[in-house]
Amino acid sequence: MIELCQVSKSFDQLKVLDHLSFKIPKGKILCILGPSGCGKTTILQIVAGLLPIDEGQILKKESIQSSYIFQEPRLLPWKTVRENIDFVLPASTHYLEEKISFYLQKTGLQGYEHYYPYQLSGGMKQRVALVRAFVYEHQLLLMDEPFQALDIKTRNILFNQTHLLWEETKNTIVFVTHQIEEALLLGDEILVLSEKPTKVKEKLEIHIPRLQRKIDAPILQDIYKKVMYSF
Amino acid sequence: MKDFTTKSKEKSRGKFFWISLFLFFMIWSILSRWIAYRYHPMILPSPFEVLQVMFTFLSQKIFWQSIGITLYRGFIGLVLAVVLGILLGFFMGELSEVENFFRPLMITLQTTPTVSWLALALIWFRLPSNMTIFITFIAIFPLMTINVYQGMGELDPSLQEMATLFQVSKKKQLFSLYLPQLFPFIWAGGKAGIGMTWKAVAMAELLSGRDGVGGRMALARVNLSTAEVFAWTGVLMILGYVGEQMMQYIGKKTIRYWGDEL
Ligand SMILES: Nc1ncnc2c1ncn2[C@@H]1O[C@H](COP(=O)(O)OP(=O)(O)OP(=O)(O)O)[C@@H](O)[C@H]1O
Ligand SMILES: [Mg+2]
Repeated sequence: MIELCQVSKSFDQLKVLDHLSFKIPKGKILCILGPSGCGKTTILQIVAGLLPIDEGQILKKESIQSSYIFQEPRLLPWKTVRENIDFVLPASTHYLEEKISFYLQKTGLQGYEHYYPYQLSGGMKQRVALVRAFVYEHQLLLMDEPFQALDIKTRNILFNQTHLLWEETKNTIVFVTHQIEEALLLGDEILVLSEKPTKVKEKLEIHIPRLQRKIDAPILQDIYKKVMYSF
Repeated sequence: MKDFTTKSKEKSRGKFFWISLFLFFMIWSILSRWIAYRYHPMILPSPFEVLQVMFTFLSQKIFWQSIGITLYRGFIGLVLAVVLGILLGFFMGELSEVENFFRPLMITLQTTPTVSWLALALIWFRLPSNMTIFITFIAIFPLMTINVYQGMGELDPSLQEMATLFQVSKKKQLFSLYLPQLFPFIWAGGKAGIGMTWKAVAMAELLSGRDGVGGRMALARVNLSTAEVFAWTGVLMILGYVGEQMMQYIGKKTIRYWGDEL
């Protein structure tokens, strides 16, 4: 769907990406694993077209509408939960009502529609950002450590929702995380990145259907070790 | 608990307010007696005389007319300055061409003393209304523009990025993204502007004509009626106070409407 060819990016003197190349396969979930500060957020911003690159090429076939769960919630402080969601949607949201309330319910936010961000906890704000990104019409979903502030239960629910969303839409997802388990359970492909200047250290594919994956299955344990080793 | 402390604080503040007011009037009336005895009663009227004049004002048609004229002029000048200041400040922040073109101009405008504008306006304008509106406008416009321009520099880039990614229309961004972030700057500019308005209007009127509050002050000066000058000053102060309270109220309402984080 999108291909990065020999992409380099520096911030002032700091070289973050050094001739990085990889493909984002259409209709699959690509997980990106890497140490903190290696440039995962930078990569997502480049893919989203929010950040210009210094060198290299980005190949896209069509014009792709992407949705983004930023690493921080990025909600408008002067708007309520519901208004924040409406902010990114077209003027008439009739046909989306069902979808909105579905995700609000799944994320445990029903009843909080009229709360302002300052009245929400950090995890709740992140969940609002999640609903906003899910409801927004997209072909490519970029997720930057979306579950990091959440407890295990909510995390599992949302993890399954991400999975279900994918089953339903078969959209392309790029999922950034530093939790190896998350990547193993969700990814069709896993990219392991090195320290700065960042290169692809390892590229793994997992062919087991998502629903049948168990984290303690031997095959996944093998991959787990591989990833751990390359970290 | 929190309520209690703020309330008791307000109470004690109120007490000192009244004491200070009382002392002020005491000193004023003693001073005016002494000056009247020593020099001439015309120099400093007593507070009672001033209050008396203010009360007789209330029944005079010309008083209300003058206030009406002054309010009208101040309002037009202020609104023009605020609206154009917001527009120019916005475009200075948005387009670098506009910024580079207007920056030196705005700095020049801001450093030009109001007296110079007064002298020029007396030459340029025949009608006292136009001249007064111009002076009010020119006193507030640079301030407002620079305030909004500064606000444009402090917009949150991460929210901007979010809006860009989700392809939010410019119109929606204007009202839901820019305006709430610019509001504190507009409000601060408006508040300072309202405070300046009555001073600017009265000054221009004093120099330009016979009508409006400033015009009446000029007339009182010619008649050597110090008490009337004081009474008009009191009126202007009340106008200033009401204006400030209005802005305070608008600010509170809007901040509540936009949540608490402003
Ligand atoms: N706007 C910027 N200006 C300067 N340096 C930046 C900027 N954005 C990122 N960097 C630098 O680029 C590097 C990569 O940052 P990035 O946010 O992409 O890391 P990350 O992999 O997402 O880390 P984390 O897992 O902690 O979120 C960091 O060293 C950071 O200091
Ligand atoms: Mg990051």
